[in-house]
Amino acid sequence: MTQVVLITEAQHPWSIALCRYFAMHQWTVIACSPESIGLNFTGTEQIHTVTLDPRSKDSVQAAAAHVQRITDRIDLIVSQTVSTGDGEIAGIASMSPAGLLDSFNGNALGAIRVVEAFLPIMHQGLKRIALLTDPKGSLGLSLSGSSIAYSMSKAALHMAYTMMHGDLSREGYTFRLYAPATEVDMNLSAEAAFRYFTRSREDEERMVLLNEAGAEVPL
Amino acid sequence: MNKTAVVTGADRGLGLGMTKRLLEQGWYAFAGSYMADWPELQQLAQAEPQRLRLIPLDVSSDRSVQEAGRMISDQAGQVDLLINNAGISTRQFSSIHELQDDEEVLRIFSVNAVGPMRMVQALQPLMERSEWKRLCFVSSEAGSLARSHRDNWYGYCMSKTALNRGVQCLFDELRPMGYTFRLYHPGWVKSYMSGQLSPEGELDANDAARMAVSYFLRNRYQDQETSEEDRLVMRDWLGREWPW
Repeated sequence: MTQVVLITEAQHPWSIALCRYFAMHQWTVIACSPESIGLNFTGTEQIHTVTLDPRSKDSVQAAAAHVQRITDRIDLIVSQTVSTGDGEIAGIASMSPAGLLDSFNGNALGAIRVVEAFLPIMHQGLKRIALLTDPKGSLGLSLSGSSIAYSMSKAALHMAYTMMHGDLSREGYTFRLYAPATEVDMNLSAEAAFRYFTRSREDEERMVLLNEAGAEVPL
Repeated sequence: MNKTAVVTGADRGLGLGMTKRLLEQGWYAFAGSYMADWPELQQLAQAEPQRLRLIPLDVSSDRSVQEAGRMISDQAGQVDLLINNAGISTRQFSSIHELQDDEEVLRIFSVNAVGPMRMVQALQPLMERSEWKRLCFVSSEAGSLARSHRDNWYGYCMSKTALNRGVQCLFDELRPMGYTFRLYHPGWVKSYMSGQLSPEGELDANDAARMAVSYFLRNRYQDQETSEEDRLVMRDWLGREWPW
């Protein structure tokens, strides 16, 4: 039986490469993107495109209902955050409270919406939840020069995943947090992510954030 | 000259207690009041008309924070100490197996995490004039990733983790400009944070306020080579350092 992966924010070039990589390895892929962004995977039967906007609970719930008409189980969720923080200026003077709330809604709450919506069809599968995230949210690194809004939203996201891990690992769920590098070859990066997301680990009791080189980034 | 403090969420509980302590120690204070009909802060203002000013303040509102900043600016030449205390919790404790109440989670985030950022942004011009420039943040152990042990209370825990990261960003930017920071877990306080006074807790509000203000006003060790102020830490009411 083929395994099923659901990938959010699949409209990004890196995500498209990841979708194709999963399909190439005989996975069924549910490629999700917001309504305004059409996805086209012509010639790839294993990839189903679904409208899903993590910023909206209604959109995520509607997507979950739609996906259940395609498949009765999801093995792996690959959740991505909505904003990348690119173009946001560091510094309290330029911080926008509305922008901070938007970042939190999309990046942190959005990832919760996806898991809560698809959890009911995950219990028979691989039970794995993966997240693409960013060291800028790391309290352990406390990187300087990051935008306040983006960094705070990512830190909140890491707490949400820490709580999910504590809860769901008791039910056999496993987690993969990944910080892809932006400057490497996209296909190589997607291949590395595929391997990390699909292989087993010996220390599943811990939730770790790994970068492209396999180094652990403190949360 | 007496120093001037601003305390958010001062109507009752820890915020009211800290305002009282500051007045007892000779400070001038602007007390952010969210609940105009709550009597205790009003009574304190009547007893201390020269040194305590109440300002209507909803830290989740940009307009309210900006208006409060204008009011403080009209009445004070500078602000030496800002205590970001205002905080709310949840009435619903949902695990990931249930749907979160998104509106409530966003409201908690707007008060607990965005609120302090709004306040720093609004008051920084007044704090620039102070030699003290002390920024205090009432956070929580619930925001510690390393010690996370809950499987519900998402909105509150996430808001405090985000706050801690926001304070790191502020520290990175403002510490070189002479600001000092206190990031603080006040203990388990019998508080009104969930809307009504909780009978549960290890500290009552006045004891928690006494411990908090003592920590906020005390300088940290410095000599010619070492400055503890250059290291951002979260400490609890017993002085224990919490991991991020």
